[in-house]
Amino acid sequence: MSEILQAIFTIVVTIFITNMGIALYGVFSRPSLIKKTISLVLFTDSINIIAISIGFRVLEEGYPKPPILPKIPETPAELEYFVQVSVDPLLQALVLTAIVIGFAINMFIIGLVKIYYRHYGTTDIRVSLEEGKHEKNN
Amino acid sequence: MIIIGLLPIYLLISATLIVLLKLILKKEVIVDLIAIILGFISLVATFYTMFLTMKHGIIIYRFGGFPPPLGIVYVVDKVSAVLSMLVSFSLIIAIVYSIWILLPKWRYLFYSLAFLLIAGVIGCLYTGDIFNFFVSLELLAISSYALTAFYRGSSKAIRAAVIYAITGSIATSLYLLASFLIYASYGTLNMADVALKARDPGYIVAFSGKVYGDVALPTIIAMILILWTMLFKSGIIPNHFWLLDVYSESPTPAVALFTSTADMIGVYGISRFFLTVFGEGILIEYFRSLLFNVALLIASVSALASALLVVTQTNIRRLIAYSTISQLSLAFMGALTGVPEGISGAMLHLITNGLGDMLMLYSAGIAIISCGKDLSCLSTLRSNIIAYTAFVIGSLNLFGIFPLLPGFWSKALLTLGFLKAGLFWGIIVVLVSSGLCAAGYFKAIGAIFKLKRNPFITISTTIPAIVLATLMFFALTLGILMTLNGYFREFVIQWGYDMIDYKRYIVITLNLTI
Repeated sequence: MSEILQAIFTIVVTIFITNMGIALYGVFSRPSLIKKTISLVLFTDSINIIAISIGFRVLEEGYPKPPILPKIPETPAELEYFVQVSVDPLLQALVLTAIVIGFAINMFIIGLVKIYYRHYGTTDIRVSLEEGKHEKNN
Repeated sequence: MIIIGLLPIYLLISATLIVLLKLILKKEVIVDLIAIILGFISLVATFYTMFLTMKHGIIIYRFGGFPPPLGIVYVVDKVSAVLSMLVSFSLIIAIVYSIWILLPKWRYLFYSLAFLLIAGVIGCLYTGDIFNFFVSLELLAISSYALTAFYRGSSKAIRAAVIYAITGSIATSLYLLASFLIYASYGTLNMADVALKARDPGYIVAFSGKVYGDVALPTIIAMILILWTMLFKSGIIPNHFWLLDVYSESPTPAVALFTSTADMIGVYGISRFFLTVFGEGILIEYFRSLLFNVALLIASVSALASALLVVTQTNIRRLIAYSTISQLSLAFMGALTGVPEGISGAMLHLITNGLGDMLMLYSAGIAIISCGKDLSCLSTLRSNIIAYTAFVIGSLNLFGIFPLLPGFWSKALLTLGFLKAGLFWGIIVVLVSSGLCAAGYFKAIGAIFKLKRNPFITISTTIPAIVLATLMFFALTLGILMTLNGYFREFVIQWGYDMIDYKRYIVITLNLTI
C-alpha cells in the first residue's frame, strides 16, 4: 500500500514541477499579458500543491486523517494516535496564507493589465516594448 | 519588547487610517499633518528599538507568547535596528517631500502605500521566521508595484509596473518554494532553529523535533532560490531589467523610498540567510563557498557593468538607477566576503547609498519638475544653492573619496573586508566601479554649472530645501562621527561580528542553556 502511495506521490510532485516549468515558459514567452497572468497563477498554484503534498503522510495501514479533532481527546494516548495519523496542518495554513497573498497580487496585476489595455488598446507586451525602443532611438 | 512586535502592525493601521481620514475629513492639510505625525512616531519607535538593542544586544518578541520555534518570533539585532532607523527616516522624508511634489488630491494614496511599503520592509528586517519574511516581502513588493503605477495616466509607468509586478511575483514565488523546501527538510520555519539544525542535524529541538532525511539537496536548492530572489530584489545585473523603468517612471519620493528601503532588503536578506542561518559551519560548507564565489562573480560583473553604464546616461533618473545597481552590487560583494569588516562595510554602504541617492533624487526632483528628466535640465538647480550643494554632496558621498562623508568609510570598510578575505580583485572592482561612477556623477555636476540653459525655477522650493538640508545634516553627521569618533567606528564594525555570530542568535532566540 505504502509503495503505491509513494509512487503516486512521486508522480504528483514530478507533474507539478513540470507544470512549474510550463508556467514559467508561459510567463516569459507569451506576449499576451492575460496569458502571462494565467501562467503566473499556474506557477504559484503548482508551488502551493507541492507544499500541500509535503504535508501528506504515508501510513503503514489505512489513510491519513485530516488535521481536525472531532472531539476533545480524553487520554494522552488518543492525542498521540491522532498526531501520528493526521496530515501536517501547518503547511495547509501556510498555503492558505500564500493563496490569499497570491489572490491580492493577481487582482492587482489584472487591474494593471486593464489600465495597460486602456493605454495601448491591446494586452500585447510587445507593443509597449517596441514603443520604448522607438523612444530610445529618438 | 512589545514595541518591535507592534511597529509593523502600527504601520499597517496607519496606512488604513490615512485613507479613512481622507475619506471622512476631505481636508488635505490635516491628512498631511497626521501622516507626518504617524511617520514621526514610527521614527521614535525605531530609535527606541535601537536603544534597546544597544542595552540588551539581541531583543526578541514572541507573537502570542508562544516559545520559538512554535510561534512567529521577531529577532532584532544591531544591524536590523540601524537599518530600520534608516527606513523610518526615509519614510518621514518622503512624506514631507511628497507634500511639495504630489497633487493634493492623490497624496493620501501615496502616504498609505508608503506606510505599507515600510511595514513590509520593517517586517523583513525584524522577522526571525522564514515564512513571515515571505509575507513581509510580498507586502513590500505589492506596495512597490502600486507606487510604480502611481502615475496611472502615464503609459510608461504602467508598462514598468506590469513588468515589475509579473517578474516580481515569480521571484517571490520562488522564495515561497524555498521556504517550503526548508520546512519539508528541517520541520521548522524558525531561522534560529534552521540555523541550529543546518549545523547539527541530530539536534532535537522541542516542538520541531529533528530533520527529515538528508537535508543537503533541499538546502542547496533553497539556497539557490533564495539567492536568485535576493539578486532580483536588489536589481543586481542580470536581474536589473525591472529597475530602470521603475526608477524612471515612479514619483520622486517613491524612487527615494525604493532605493533606501525596498531594494536594500535583497542585500540584507542575503546577509541574514547566508551569514546567520546558512552561515559558517553548516554541513554543506563546500557548496556554500562555491555559491559565494559564483555570487561574488555576478555581483562584481554587475558593479563594473552598471558603473560603465552610469557614464553613458543622459537621463537623470537612469543615471541614479545604474548608480544604485553599482552600489548595491558592491554591498552584495561586501556581504559575501563573510569577513566582519566586509559585512559592516556592506551594511554601512546600504545606508550611504540610501542617503546619497536621496540627496541626488530630491535635488534632481526640483530640476525634473521645472524642466525635465534630461541631464541638461540640472542647470536649473544653479539658482538654488541648497539644491546644488545637496546634489554635489550626494555625488561625493557615493563616490567615496571625501573622508567627512559616510561613503568614504563604507568603501574603506569594504576594501578592508576584501583585503582580509584575500579577495584582491574585489578591491580593484571597488576602485574601478567608483571611478567609473564618479565620471557619471561629474558629468551630472558639470551639467549643473554649464551655461547652456537659463536657471529658472518658478515654484517655491522651501519644502525641498528643508528636506535636503536635513539629509545633508545627517550625511555629514554620520561622516564626521565615523571620522572623529573611534567608538562609533568600533560600533559599526561590530555589526559584522553580530551578523556572523550564529551561536548567540540561536541561543537567545531558542532560549537554550548551552
